[in-house]
Amino acid sequence: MTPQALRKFRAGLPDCELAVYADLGSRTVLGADGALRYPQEYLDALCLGAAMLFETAAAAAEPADHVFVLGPTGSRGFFRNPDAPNEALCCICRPDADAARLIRAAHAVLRGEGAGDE
Amino acid sequence: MSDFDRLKAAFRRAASDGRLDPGDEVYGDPADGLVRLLRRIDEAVLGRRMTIGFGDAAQLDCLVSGRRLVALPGPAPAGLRPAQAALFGRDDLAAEDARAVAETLLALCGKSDRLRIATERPETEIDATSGGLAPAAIAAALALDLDAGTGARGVDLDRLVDAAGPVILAAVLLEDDEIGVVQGEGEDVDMLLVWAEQVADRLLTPAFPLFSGIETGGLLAFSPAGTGGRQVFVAGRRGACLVAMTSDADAVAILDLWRRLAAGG
Repeated sequence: MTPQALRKFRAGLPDCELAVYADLGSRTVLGADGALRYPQEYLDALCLGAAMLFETAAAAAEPADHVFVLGPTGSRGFFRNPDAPNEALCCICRPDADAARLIRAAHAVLRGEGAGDE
Repeated sequence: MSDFDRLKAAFRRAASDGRLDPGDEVYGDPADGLVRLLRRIDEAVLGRRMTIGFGDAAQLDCLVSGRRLVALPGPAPAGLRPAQAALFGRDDLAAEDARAVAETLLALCGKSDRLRIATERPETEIDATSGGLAPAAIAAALALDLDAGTGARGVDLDRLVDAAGPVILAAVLLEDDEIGVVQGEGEDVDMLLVWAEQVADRLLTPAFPLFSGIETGGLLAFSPAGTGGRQVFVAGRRGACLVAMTSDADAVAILDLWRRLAAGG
């Protein structure tokens, strides 16, 4: 996923405060776009959390398409790239984020839709 | 208390504050204390030794399993009448003991204004198939209402489970390395048990991330591929959590429900 695609993805979602594209295998941040500039340790922790969530889900016979963590102060959505299962899009959103819109947008950007529109 | 009320209570307790020891619970009168105690037994799915401390006044050990009070291992607390003391040390309790047990527990609640409940895995497995007393039967012996005053706390998670209730197909409790069915039957429970067994080691590990968020009232939602739209959500505290499965309330429905609740809707 290109930086432009990531930026466009987040620009279309006012509820999304940070979007990170991560390699779950190496636990490496491949790209990030946020309303604020986040320290690398924060991004690394998010990447690690995503990796462990999908590893947990993968222990079951059916791996997870996506995982949400909902809390009083925010919601986090993690979407695995179907074409590159070792990679995932991680989103930090407001607690009242529109989940349906987030899921649609995440799946679209992971399919490469709109990636080169800028 | 209905199955759904138990489920809500278990969720509420699992996510209430993340502390393994919830501390003293202060009650208004002995009957209130007894109802609180019976509710805890009514939520006890796995076989456990439950130790109840009534302030500094008395301590009671119970063996509970399958939402039943199975036995009162001895010795009997001091100050009980002979008929009450005779309930202790028996292998199991039966329906005809309901009134005596109710009066015994009420007498112990009358020794204090607070109780503290701790549970631990018993040394030997508890067999609840052949006996034991349902909390409802104990309450009924003294015309007490187990449902009175439940659901007063309107935390988001509570409201979420309340609203999602009609679509909860199955729920199981994970504690230590044991899994017990809280709600549901048939294929749905089988599917959820398999899922929970497969991920239990990872969910319960101290290294599992994000539990700090879940422990303070959050929810973890998995959308497993290939399960016909079923959604698995997890709430709990480190070392114990509740796992539930829904069908029609797919990921979007559950998450939008959370969004409305978070927005105060």
